[in-house]
Amino acid sequence: MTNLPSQSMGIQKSGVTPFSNPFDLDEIYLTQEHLQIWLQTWFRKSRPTTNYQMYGLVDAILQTQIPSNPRGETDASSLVSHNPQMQVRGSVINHYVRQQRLRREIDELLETYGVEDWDGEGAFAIKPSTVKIAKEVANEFPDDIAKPDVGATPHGEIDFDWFISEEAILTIGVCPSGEIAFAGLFKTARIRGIEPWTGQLSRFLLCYFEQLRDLSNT
Amino acid sequence: MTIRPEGQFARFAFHRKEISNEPKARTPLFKPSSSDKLSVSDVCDLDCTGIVDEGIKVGNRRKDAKSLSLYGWAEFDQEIIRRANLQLDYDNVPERHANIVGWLTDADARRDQQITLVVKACATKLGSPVPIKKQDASG
Repeated sequence: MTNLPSQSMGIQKSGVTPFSNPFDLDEIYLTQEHLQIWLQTWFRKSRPTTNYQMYGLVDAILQTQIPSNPRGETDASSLVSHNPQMQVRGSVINHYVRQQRLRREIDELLETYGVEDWDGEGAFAIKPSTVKIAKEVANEFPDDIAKPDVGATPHGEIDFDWFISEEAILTIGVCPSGEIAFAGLFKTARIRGIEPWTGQLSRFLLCYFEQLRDLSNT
Repeated sequence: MTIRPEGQFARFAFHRKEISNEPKARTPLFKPSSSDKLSVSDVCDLDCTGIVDEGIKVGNRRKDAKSLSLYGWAEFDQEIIRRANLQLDYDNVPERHANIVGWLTDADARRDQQITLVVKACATKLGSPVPIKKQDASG
């Protein structure tokens, strides 16, 4: 079993919540390939590591002896049980489970809202291309932001809504055109805008997430 | 129907997520239809029971009525509608029913209008959701 390096590899203890198990981890299975891709994405977003350090950490986690099922998949609870770095795995699994649930909710929108006129008032169907972009957008949400409400609009958009308080509201919509429309309220400041989806959140949106986080903590 | 300046309007919540437990109205409650109309009812002189009855009538007109329940509603006055740069358009079908119109075309501007309504609306969440059934539509 490989021991993971800690501080020297950029793993910071501050802000990392030790893992508790409020999730149905047994439901979640990862192929080795998916695990690798996902871990790389997670480290890139949430850890101040260089690529070299990141791949080192990912390899180290993958090399631990994690039991797998006959299909070669690893269940998430086994990952928790066998990974030597509690701080890392707690955050990794927390984030992974949250992302999986969000992605599942987005996928489920297609079943209910993937047909024209789903509200009896001429609503536009949610398109698979909108779902695809919505999942990419959701993957870029910062780890420490509350999970949003996910829904479809009659205009064929997929919405992510955060209502922290009457002074902290953010709504982001993925439009059928592939654009991202957003509006928010942060205390007395109102913001809104539309931008093309380039594969990552703009610095404006990241800044709004910071404000949302700050107001969540007050 | 005469539009009264003191008019109080309700937007009914037929989905659990539209009103939080606090209760507070959430932005999804104020999503206009694809034809840019938001269905509301004038509930100015109604008590809670009357408002629920009104909600059932509105729910019964929906295509998916049989699978719906009424979870609560959000109330607001005409001033809030005006402040969001929106207008009321009465159609009285069913009686007391109106649409909020004047939604802006841009998706971000529309969301901004929704937020104005969300912040100012006063929400009520029913202890138990009331199933919408076609046969209850007589009232």
